[in-house]
This record gives sequence, C-alpha cells and structure tokens, in this order.
Amino acid sequence: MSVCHLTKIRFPVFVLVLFFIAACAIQPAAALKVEGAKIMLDVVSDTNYIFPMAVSINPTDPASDYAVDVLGFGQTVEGGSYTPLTAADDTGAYSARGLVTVDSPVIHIEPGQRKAFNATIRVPQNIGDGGRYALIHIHPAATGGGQTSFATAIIVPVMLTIQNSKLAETGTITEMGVGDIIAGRPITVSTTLKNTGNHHYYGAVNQITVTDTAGKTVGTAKGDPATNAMIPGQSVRFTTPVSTPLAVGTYTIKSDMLLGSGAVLDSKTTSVTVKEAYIPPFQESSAKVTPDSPATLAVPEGTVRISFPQGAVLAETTVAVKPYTGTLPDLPAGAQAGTTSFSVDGLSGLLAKDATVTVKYNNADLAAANGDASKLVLGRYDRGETHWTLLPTTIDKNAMTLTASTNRFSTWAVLAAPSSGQTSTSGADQKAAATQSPAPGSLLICGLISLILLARSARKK
Amino acid sequence: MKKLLFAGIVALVILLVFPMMVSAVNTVSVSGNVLGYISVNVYNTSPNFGTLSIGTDIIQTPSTVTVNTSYTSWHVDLTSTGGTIPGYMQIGGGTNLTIPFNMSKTIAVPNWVHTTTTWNNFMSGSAAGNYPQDVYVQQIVSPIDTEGAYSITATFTGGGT
Repeated sequence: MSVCHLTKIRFPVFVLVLFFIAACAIQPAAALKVEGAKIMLDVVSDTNYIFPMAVSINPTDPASDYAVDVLGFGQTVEGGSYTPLTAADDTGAYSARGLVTVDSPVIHIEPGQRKAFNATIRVPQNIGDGGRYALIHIHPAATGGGQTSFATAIIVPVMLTIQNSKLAETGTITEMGVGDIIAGRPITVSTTLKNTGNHHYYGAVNQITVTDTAGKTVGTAKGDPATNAMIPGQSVRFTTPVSTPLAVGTYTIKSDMLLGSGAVLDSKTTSVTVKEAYIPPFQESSAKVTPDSPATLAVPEGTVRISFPQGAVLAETTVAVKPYTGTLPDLPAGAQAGTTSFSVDGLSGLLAKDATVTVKYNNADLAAANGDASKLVLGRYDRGETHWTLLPTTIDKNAMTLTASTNRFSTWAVLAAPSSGQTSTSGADQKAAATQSPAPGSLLICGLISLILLARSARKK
Repeated sequence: MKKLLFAGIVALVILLVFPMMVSAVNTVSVSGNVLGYISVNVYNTSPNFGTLSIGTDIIQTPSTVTVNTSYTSWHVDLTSTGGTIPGYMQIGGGTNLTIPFNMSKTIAVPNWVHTTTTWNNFMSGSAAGNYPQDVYVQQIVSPIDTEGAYSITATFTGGGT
C-alpha cells in the first residue's frame, strides 16, 4: 500500500477540507551554458586583464534575462562549496570583488542565442602579495511562475595569483571532534581547517592516526583530498571515517591536515574512551552466482553470509554486499533499527529458489531491543513496493546470529520488532521461525482452515 | 629658484599631456584555451504536485538535471526558496508550509533532504563529460497548514572548482 493510500485512509476529512490551488504555468527548459566559467590568472600589478566569456541558452528556451553579479568569494564549512558573499560579508584582505567588472549587469538572451561579454580585471599598483578572489554569479534575473520551479545558475570562480609575490599557503585547525563510537558504523573524525595564508591551495587532506595509551599506533585513516580550493580566510570541515577495531580503553586521535605535497599545515589531538569493544563496518564483498551450483557470499568479518542454493539464479551474476551508511527509509510503526544495515546489489528480479541470509548482530542491535534478542528480526526494504518486510527470522543467541530466507534483495537492517516471541531462540538446533509480519490474507486463510478442521472434528465427535 | 619653478612647470605639462608616461597601465587580452565551459540543464522544470492533501505527495516522475562540462573538476549545489525562508513552500504574502520542501536523488530508497540549507555538491565530478541526474521532490502537508497557492523555486548552481 502506498503512502498516498495510507494518507487517504487516515485523513479523509482533511483531504476534502484542505486543498491547494496548483499554479500550472508551463515552465521553459532551464538551460544555461557559460563559457569562460573559471578565471585563474597569474597577474602583475598595474595591469588590466580582459577575460572573454559567453552565455548561451538552448533554441527551445524562451528569451531570458540573466543577471551577472560580481561578489565576494565564500565557502561553506560543510563541503567547501563556493558561495557568494555580499559586500557586507566580503571583508577579507584578499578580495578581488572590487577589481572585477563585467560589461553589463544584465544580459538579455534570445532563444538559442550566444552572447559574448568580457570580465575586466584591474590590478592596481602595489597590490601586495598572495592571491585575490571573487565570484561571478550568473543567474536568472527573475524566477518562479509555477508551484515548483527549477532554475539554473553558474558560479564563476575568479582566482588571481600575483606574480613574483610571496605566497603563504598555511592553515590552522580551529576545531576537531570525534563522533559517536557505535559498532558497525565508522567513527567519524571532523577537523575544521582555516586557510590562514594569503593564497589558495587544492588537495588538502585529513590524515588520522589512532594510538593507544602505550603510544602504539592501532589505526590510521586518510580522507579524500579536497576537490575545492581552500580560499584565504575560509574554513572547511573535513570528515574522515575511521574503521579500525578498538578494544575497551582510552585512545589518542591525531588529525594532521596536509597539503597535496605532504607538507603538514597543522595537527591536533584529542582523546576518546571506548567503553565497549568497537567493531568497524564490514568490508564490501562480492561473489559470482551461477545457476548450476550453490554459492556463498560472505564478508571477511563474518557479519553477513548469504547462501544461494543451486538453481537460485537463471543466469550467472555477480552479487555484492556492502554496509548501508545512509539514513534508513521510514521504519514500520514501533520498530527500532539497530546499527547493522547493509545493501545487496546485483540481483534485479526474484530468485528462483530462496537464499538464506545470516547476519551477526551486535550489542548495539541488542540494545535497540532493550536487550531482548527475541525481538530482533531481519528487515528487508523492498524498493519496488517502498515498504519494509519483517522476515520470519531464526535467532541463534549463542552465535548471535539472525537467519532468514528470501527470494529478493535490497536494503537490509537488523530491527527490533514490537512483537516478541515469534522467533525461535534456540541454539544450534534452530527451529522453524514464525512469521513476524504475516500477510492479512494468509492469516484469514489459516483461520478459515482452522475453523473447517474444528467443525469437522466436532461433527466426528 | 627660477630653474626649480621651470622644472616644475615642465613636469606638470608632461603630466598633463602624457599621463600614460607616469601611469602606464598595461592591458592584456586573455586568449588561448581559456573558454572552458559548463552548462546546467533541467528538464521538466515545473514538477507540479497539483492539489495537495494532508500526508505525502511524491512526484514519481523525476526531473533530470544534466551537467555538460569541459572542466575536470566541477560541482552543482542546490538551493531552494519560496520567499523569505529557504526550503519552505510559501505564499506570496509570506505564509509558509510548516514542513520543509524535500528533494531526493533516488526514489528506490528515498533519502529525502530538507532544502532549508544549501545542498552542497548535489552533483560533483572529477572529469569532463555529460552527467545526468534524476531529482525527485516531496512535500508533506500538515493539518495545521492553511489553504493557499504555495510555490518554491529550486536553483541548481554549477561551476568549475
């Protein structure tokens, strides 16, 4: 049942009362092309630079006005995206906003037209050292017209390096933090770096080292190099996952912010206490499954194991399992997610024969069930039907595993279901599991059969 | 004294007649392979919820954002505004819905993102080329929302990095 259907059932009155007038304006395709969309120049004092640019739209687009604004060069802390700064906020010493002008603040374009214009950069005498920065924001002069409308815009970074000047590429860590330490989830180390120099740099990278109380290195991690430049005066947060097993104890986590060359910009340390042995997320693994023989897909850590019987697939396919790190879709009412979740890719349809999925649950999963393992089930999110199915699950408390059969794969999670006592809790000799979420139809059929049997039994007596 | 005065007058004349001699601003026309490009296109630019009812309405047919670029490092950020408050559908007069406008890049396992702040790196890449990306929109209406014609504009802003 779709969410919309649920809605109609739950709020029949409001559906009639509350309505919205849809503005059905036909919107044009929003297409914007900018040539000369990145200005990186080595400049000298007392020189003007004429930089050619052009704006064009598709022949199917309507005539449009585009505003061309020269603004300060800001960056978002999260991700370091380039973001325009108004004059009031653009107070840094390395702004080029006042150096850049464009031919016209508004460009009118007819369908399919390309309009060339120039950006003029006036570098004054004695400009000083380092770099100078601005953004040229090209955007529709007016938007809207529909209930929901999309628009497109282009930001042109202007990055000027003053030739023969003293370039300082330095940085300071202004903040460092370590996220929650939860089994099955990566530990995230967040380091905020501020460019304290006078010139931008690319490829800054966060290198993490974890040491124990004896000073022994027990884990390392390195984030991806920043793809955006770091602009003088701007701060960007680098979030680096650490996936190394940690025993109970206290650890020192060190963050080194490096330039692409390996030069250290700054370092900072913090300590964390691990109160419960930390198990990192499992490694992504894959296996080839063929129709003529059984196959097993298991991750090295033993967290997930999927057994395919012979004839489960009709053609050879590669199946992969990986930790699911996103936000899980809305859970069924009353269900709680543990920390173990994963996705299985490579199978688009149904299996010809059920596969067996065995998942090792951890203490955090158990905590989601308030310590009652019998409440744990394997949940499968069916993408096509956009809902969760709580599978009949067998529990082995000794091995701390959950096992279920399935004829399809998607996103999986260990869930604590509201109802208990429906799963087997034996040890090695697993009993048949009861269904956690029996379909109403099957309940009805079972009920009818029971009634018929009872009636026949009564007649015999 | 006369000589000094004469020299001063000569200097002044030179300044007035040949200003460029003392303030020689060079002009450089940048040319060559500078005209790298980036284009951002959106198809189905006006997805419409029609008449909204309390609960969830999802646009099942996605819009598609396509980036075509010659830059080897690029990104697209997403911002939305219906008026004064980012990320909320709003009536012209200023009333906004109580629940933010959401967007997702997939419908298979929707990961709805409130657009109350900029969605940085909605798309990004490290190679030149043509890159399509589906985008879905969602608006949940609360029982306390008032009747009206609400609207919002989502802007995809691309650029080289």
